[in-house]
Formats: sequence, structure tokens, C-alpha cells
Amino acid sequence: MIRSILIAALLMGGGFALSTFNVGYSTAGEKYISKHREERKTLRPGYYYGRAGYGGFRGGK
Amino acid sequence: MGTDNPDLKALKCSKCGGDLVKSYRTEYDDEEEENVSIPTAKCSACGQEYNQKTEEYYGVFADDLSSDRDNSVFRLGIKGTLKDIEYEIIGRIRYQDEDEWEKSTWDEWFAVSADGTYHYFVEEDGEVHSYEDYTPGSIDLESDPGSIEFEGKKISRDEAYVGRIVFAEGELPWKPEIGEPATMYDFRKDGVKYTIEHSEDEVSITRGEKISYKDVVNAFGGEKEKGRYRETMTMRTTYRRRAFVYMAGCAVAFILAAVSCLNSSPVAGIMEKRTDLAANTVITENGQSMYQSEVLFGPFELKKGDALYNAQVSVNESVQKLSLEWQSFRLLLVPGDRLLKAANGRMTPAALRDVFDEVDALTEPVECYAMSGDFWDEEGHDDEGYWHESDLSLDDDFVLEKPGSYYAYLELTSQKPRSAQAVEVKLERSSSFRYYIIIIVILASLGFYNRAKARSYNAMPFAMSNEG
Repeated sequence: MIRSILIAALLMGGGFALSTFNVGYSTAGEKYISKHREERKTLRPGYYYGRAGYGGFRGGK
Repeated sequence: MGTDNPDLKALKCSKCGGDLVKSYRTEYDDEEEENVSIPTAKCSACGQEYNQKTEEYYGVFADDLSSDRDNSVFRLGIKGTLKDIEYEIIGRIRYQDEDEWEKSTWDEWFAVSADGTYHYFVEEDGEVHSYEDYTPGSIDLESDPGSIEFEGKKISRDEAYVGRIVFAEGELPWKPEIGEPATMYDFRKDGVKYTIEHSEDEVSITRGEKISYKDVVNAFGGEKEKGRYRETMTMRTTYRRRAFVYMAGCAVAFILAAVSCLNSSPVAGIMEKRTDLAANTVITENGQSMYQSEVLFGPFELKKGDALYNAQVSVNESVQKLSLEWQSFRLLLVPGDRLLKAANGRMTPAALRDVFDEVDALTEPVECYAMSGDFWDEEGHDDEGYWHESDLSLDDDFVLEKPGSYYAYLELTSQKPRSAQAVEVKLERSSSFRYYIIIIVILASLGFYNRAKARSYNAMPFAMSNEG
């Protein structure tokens, strides 16, 4: 009984914490900017930056 | 009887006198949707088959159907007191349901009470019923071919079932034979349970009630049975309590998920201000010509930082239908200050067009979030005939770090020229609930598992229904 209460409480607490702190979602802000800034540093001049998500219908696939 | 009285078995073929042996025939079962093996008795000499509607069948299979006959609290000669009446078990008959070719048995234990009257304890499917002889005010088993009448109550003959004796022992009111049939009716009248057993030359009517295994074990069980019963009931209670805790947690998680799901508010004014940067410009990619449009929405205010937002991009078919074609989109969320800096303070359509022409090559990204996807509308034919499917809306959740003034840049690429007005962008403040869904699934699984265990845990050597 006590063990089941502990398990339920831990699961509920974990779910509440993950939801409250929005864990696992992509971030709009400095995190995105820093990541893409680093990626673009490695691009050669004139390189066309590939766009995520494109390539389905546009690529004829 | 059974193995104890082999002389009562009908183990010879009634046609040729040959020995009967166990056999199986294969039949297609409509319910199981597969072939099943059905047991039959077969004459080793002439090949005559006997199914479960014949006495010969039970002569062959009686031992199989009574192999677990010792798994009971009741035993011959045992005495016990129930409701202040002492009973002694003096005999037992085990029946098999004639309609079933799998084991489906019940035991009728014959007892005599201290005052010398007969009493019957029927043990079936983990339950025990206590019966006593009953003389009805009126009964008619003959006149109506469709039903019988019992004290004014009509009982359809369709409710009858046939039990076949597969085992008997002790002192019984008559001499039973293996395979002997008895037609039975179980019914309730005025809340009381009655049974009519109609054999070839006798009708027996009893009435009774369900009694708990707790009473049966306390009355007839030894210390071993009582210990096993206590263990069973303790574990069933423990599992039931666990199930309650998990299901209660599941309910709380459901409420939290529902509150989070409903707790969303749209961001107003996203599409109020729009700047069309390009309309159906012809571009070529991988040898394919396509049309590109660009729109900048905003500025608009996102007032809450460190909060979850949902972005939705969808085709508004009231403006233009998407018909047998595709359209790709890319949505960029652009902070106002970064756009102003990238455009060198000039927020004119020309300057903005220059910025977004090079947006993927800017070493300092102007956007802080990107989302992309495809809308499509297709049709075709397959085995089931014509189909028509489309996907006209996509959404994504993201956490906005800082509140402030933002723009939404929408880039549209389509197979055919399309109006940029036919695509809508919506933003809304939302709350995360996906983790609650996972928690609900886990807690519900634990709840159902423990509930199943609360019903099935059994330390007794025989089935015992849930009577917690």
C-alpha cells in the first residue's frame, strides 16, 4: 500500500515537474540562435543552407 | 464411482461390443475462427464415434473430467457447522455440462443435518451455493411443450441444460451411473434461487442461496485451508488497495491533463499586419518549377516568456481550395529587435526582402524558431476503391524564452500558383499535458494489473470467486 502510494506520488510528481518546466520542447530564443550560429560558421560562402522539412513534395519524393 | 467403481462404466461399444478409446476429430470453429480438436469416444473395433451427448463418451472421459476431484474444502465424512446447524458430508456427484466438450463441471455435495434432513452444497466456478429440498405449491413439467410452470412462473424449456454424471461417491439417495443425464433449470423467483433437476425417473426441487467461502472454510476447512484462505483474502485486499491508489492517481493525472489541455489562450493580432514580400515567384529546384510566396506578419506581442506556445499553420480553403497538389511552408519566428538590426533599421518591403532572401546564410540568425511542413491533397484507387486524402494543417509546440515584439515570416512554395492569403498562422499560449498522458497510461496499467490480481490471486487449490 505504502509502496503503491510512493510509486503513484513519484509518477505524478515527475509528470507535474516535466509539465511545469516544459521539458522536452524545442526552444524559441537564444538556444536556437546559438545552435544555428554555430552551424552557419561552418558554411562555405555561397552555400545554400538546407531547410529542415523540405525535400518531401518539393524533392519529388 | 469413476475409477473407484469401474463396473459402472460403459466402456464397450453399444453397436459391436468393442473397446472404446479416446479419439479426437478436427472441426472448424466459427467463434475461434480456426480448426479445433474435439474429443470423442471411438470404438477400436468398428470405428463408431460417441460424442458428449452419449453415455459411452463419459465412460471414456470420466476420469479426465474428475481428475481434480480432491481440490475442495468438502470431503466425505467431514462435519461442519453453518448458521448453527451441523452438517455431515455423506456423498458427492460431479456433473459435466453436456453442451461443452471442454471441462465444465460442478459438484453437488450431499449432506445430512443434525435433524436428519438432506442438504446440498453446490460448488461451481469458485462459488458455493447451499440448497435444501423444497416442495412447491404447484409445478407442471408436462402440459406445455415450450415451457414448464413453477408456482405460476413460466420457465422456457430453452433455459434447460443437461448435466452428465462423471463421478459419484459416498451414500447417495439413488444409484447413479456414469454418463447418466439430468435436465436442469436454474432460476430465481421472488429473489430466491431454485433448481429443478429432472432425471429419467425423478424430479428434485431445491432452493437455496450463495454462501461465502469464508463460511465454508470456517465450517468445514482444516487449519491448512483456513491459512490459505487468510493468505488469499489478505493478498486480494492488498492488490485491491494498490489498484485503488493507482486508479486514484490516474484520475488526478487525467484532471491535470484536462485542465492543461483546456488552459490555452490565442495570441491576438498575428495576421493583423502583413507585408507581402513576394507572390508566386517562379523558382526551380531539382529541375522542377514551382511558385514561391513570402509574407511577413507583425509586429505582435508575445507577453509571456519562459512559456509554452503552440504554432499552427493551416490552409484556409474558404479562400482557395488545395486540390490535388502540394504546398510547402516554412514559418520563422523573428524577434523585432533582431529583424530591425538585420535590416539596418530600414523596415521597408525592399529591405525586408533582402534580409529574407539571405535568411539562411546570415551568420547571425535573425529568427529564434523555425517550423516547416507540407500540405497535400491526393486521390487514387486501391483494393477498396477510390480514396481521397489531404493534410491541411500542421502545428508544433515551442517554449518562448523571452517576451517581446515578434514577427512571423511565412515562406510558401507550391506546385501551382496559390494565394498567400489562403494560409493562416495562429499562435496560442498553451500548457504541456503530454507527460500526464504518459502518467495516465502507466498508472492505469498498474491499476488494471492490480485489479486483475485482486480478483485472481488464489492460494487455495481450487477456484474461489472474488468475495472480498
